[in-house]
Amino acid sequence: MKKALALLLAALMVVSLMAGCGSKNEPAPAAPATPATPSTPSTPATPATPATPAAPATPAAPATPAVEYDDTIVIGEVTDALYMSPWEALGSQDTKYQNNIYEHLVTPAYDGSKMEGQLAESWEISEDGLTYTFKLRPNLKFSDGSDVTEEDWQWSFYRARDYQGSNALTRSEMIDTVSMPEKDTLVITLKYACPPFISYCSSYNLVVASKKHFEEVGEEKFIESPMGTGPYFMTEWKRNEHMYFEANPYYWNEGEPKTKYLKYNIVSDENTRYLQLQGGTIDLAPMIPNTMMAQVEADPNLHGETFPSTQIRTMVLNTTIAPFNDPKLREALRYATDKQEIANIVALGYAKPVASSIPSAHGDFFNKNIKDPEVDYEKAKQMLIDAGYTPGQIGGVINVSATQAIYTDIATVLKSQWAKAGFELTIEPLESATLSEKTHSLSHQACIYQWTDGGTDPASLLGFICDYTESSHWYTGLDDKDLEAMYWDSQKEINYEKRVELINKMQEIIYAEHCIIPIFQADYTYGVSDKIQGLNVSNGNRVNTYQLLKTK
Amino acid sequence: MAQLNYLFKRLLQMIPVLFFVTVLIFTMIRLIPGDPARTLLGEMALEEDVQRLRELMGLNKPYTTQYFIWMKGILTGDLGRSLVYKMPVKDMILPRLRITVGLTFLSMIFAVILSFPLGYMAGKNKDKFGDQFIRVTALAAISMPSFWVGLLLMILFGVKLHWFPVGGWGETPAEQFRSLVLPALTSCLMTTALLMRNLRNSVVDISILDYVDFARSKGITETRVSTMHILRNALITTVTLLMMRMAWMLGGSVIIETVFSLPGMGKLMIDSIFGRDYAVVQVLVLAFSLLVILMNLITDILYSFLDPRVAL
Repeated sequence: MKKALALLLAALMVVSLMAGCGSKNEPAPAAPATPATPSTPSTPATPATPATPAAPATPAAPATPAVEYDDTIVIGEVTDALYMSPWEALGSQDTKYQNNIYEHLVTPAYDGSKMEGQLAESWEISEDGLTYTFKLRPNLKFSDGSDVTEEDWQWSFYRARDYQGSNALTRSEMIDTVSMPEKDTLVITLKYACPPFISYCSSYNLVVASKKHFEEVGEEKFIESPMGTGPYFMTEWKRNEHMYFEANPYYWNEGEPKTKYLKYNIVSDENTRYLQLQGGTIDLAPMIPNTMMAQVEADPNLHGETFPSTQIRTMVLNTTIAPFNDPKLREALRYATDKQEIANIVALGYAKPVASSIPSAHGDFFNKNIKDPEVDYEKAKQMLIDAGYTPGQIGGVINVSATQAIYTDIATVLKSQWAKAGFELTIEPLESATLSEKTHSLSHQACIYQWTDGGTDPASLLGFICDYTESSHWYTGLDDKDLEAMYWDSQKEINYEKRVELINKMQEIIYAEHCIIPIFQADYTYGVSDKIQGLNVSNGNRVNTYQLLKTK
Repeated sequence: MAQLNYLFKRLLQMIPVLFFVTVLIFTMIRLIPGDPARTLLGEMALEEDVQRLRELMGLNKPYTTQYFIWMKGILTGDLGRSLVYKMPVKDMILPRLRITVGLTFLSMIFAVILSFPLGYMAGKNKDKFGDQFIRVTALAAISMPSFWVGLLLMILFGVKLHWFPVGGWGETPAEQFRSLVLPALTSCLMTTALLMRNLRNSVVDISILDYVDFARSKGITETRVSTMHILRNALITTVTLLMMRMAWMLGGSVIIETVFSLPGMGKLMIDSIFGRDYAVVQVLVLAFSLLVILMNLITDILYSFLDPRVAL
């Protein structure tokens, strides 16, 4: 009897295991990144043209049926917005929704190479850099049909400048006056010349909103009741459940948005989100983990799409405490850091190693001359010996966020690489708030963070690094006054070539410090239903929802 | 009258307990490293933005002032404002309470429907094949991780068969009920297994007692012996266990809510702790403490009804 029982139990466990693993066509829970052969990243998707109407039937050939489109697209997001007010927004968590409602004067092109007009058709900057004149698109209206007036522009931009609850004040604090001296012409004057200002104009806090609507609903309700000029307006928001958008009938761009309704499902678990994509509950899953792309591609009704990003994962080393307070040790470890291997193993090929902290999308501002040395573990070991260390008897601790597996994965590969040079790296995952506290107080030794630049100017990132009061030199504790002075000069330098030269030089200095070490720039990976057409994603992760179509 | 006195005494005893809980949670949440303003603004927050937000959040006030402001609000029905969501805590909790309570009750119903008959059958057929099979199944149910079971159920009943939604919370009452079925089935597994084993053991123990034989010898029908003498006595500990599990589940199951994308209390609690949303954590812990105290009280009262020998 006992033997039969044991056999039955064993059989039950085996069956459970098999059911859990499933066939190659069935989804399995996402596994942590394991060493895998790198796959070639997909080329960025180009927007598909909508199907042309069916040609009239000729006596000889049968008529081709017209393509029918669904009026609703459902997008599955892992995080809900916190605020739908542009001046409360915290970043991409909110802007991915707000971008459907609010618009800017200008916006980066999808490849990040230049600024393009959004509400402005064109613009001019005065020679002294203090006056920006925008030629606005005619007859701009909010989603309730009311005209966008000078008062709305003034109120919106002054609020961006003055509202103390915003975390984007540095991008708007230089605004002096806003006026419309003539119809469809907006003039913004600055308190001081600020060359990145045109890039700042695409910041989430510099949008036009309806003053009348704000006064009607009140400040508290405005967080959940937005109104803008964008392609959609929000009709319902149930926090952590879903968000509904409907096409703005007064949108300035005729023919857009192409799909009448958008719905966002908030699905906090990646496995569940994939199942919803597979089952057709959602049509699009943005920022799907790299480890799930193979499953997506294997499904006959889905496909994966990748888009280049400006998101760079960066390791920061604290120069105020041992062991990373020694620049020779930091430089030696560069030779033991194989970024390509990290990108292959962790990002499964959906990333490329980078040497500079500034994304390559920033064009001239990106210093293409900065290159990492060839990986040479023996050289790294020798450099450590020359610096007075005994390989095998030195080590340090790297703190990573416990809630984001990618950081632990990067640290794990680093650990194995640095071990070849005789440096023992201990990985210590911490909960995010505790990690922030630790790095802010400079009590960490090393950690890994990421930065995504949405505009076309690296001023925000450089400010974060170089202005010591903002982040202690990105939590490295390196107080370089010369570098900081160079940053402030670059913020005031109107001459483009000189500014480019300054910023390129700053990157060389940051690189030579060996304490801010960019690792890889990852692609955005999206899981997409085959019914979806026209998807494009900017390098700042802005989705062209207004151009999406879904076939029936 | 005695019962009313007992009830009144227990309710009065709640007050110092709850007061102690407020002091404890207020202090403990602030001892955890991590600043709410910095956590909200993220790792790339500028220092000046963090300091400005701390001021707006009232975090620069002395701790005693913060505590009294909070307590004054609690006593006047104002549960405070969420530091993260910038909305009244009451407005956040009530919709989620509905989901968690619904999930808990449905889970308990499934657990009772499954465990009571199976536990009783296993006890009445001690050591026979049925008993062995039920016990092994209970062991397997306890052993399987709930998130994995949940995913399997979603794949089978959601993706393949389309009988139930693949996660999420519905919009109509019918959809919302359907949204709860798979999570409740997943959630009830552990409780079912525990109740089944408990009831089975109780039935086994009680079946061999003298008064059961005496009842049979008096000519009482087997059905009556089974229900009034065996089952009723066996249920005493099982119902106690059921009420305790219910109190635990009302605290919310983070894993179930995350896997099935249900915006319930458990997920809110864990997100609020990670986000250092002091106001929400404080109210939730206080609410859970109150629920546990009330569930214990109901259990004691129910106990006295089930077992007349127990006096309140």
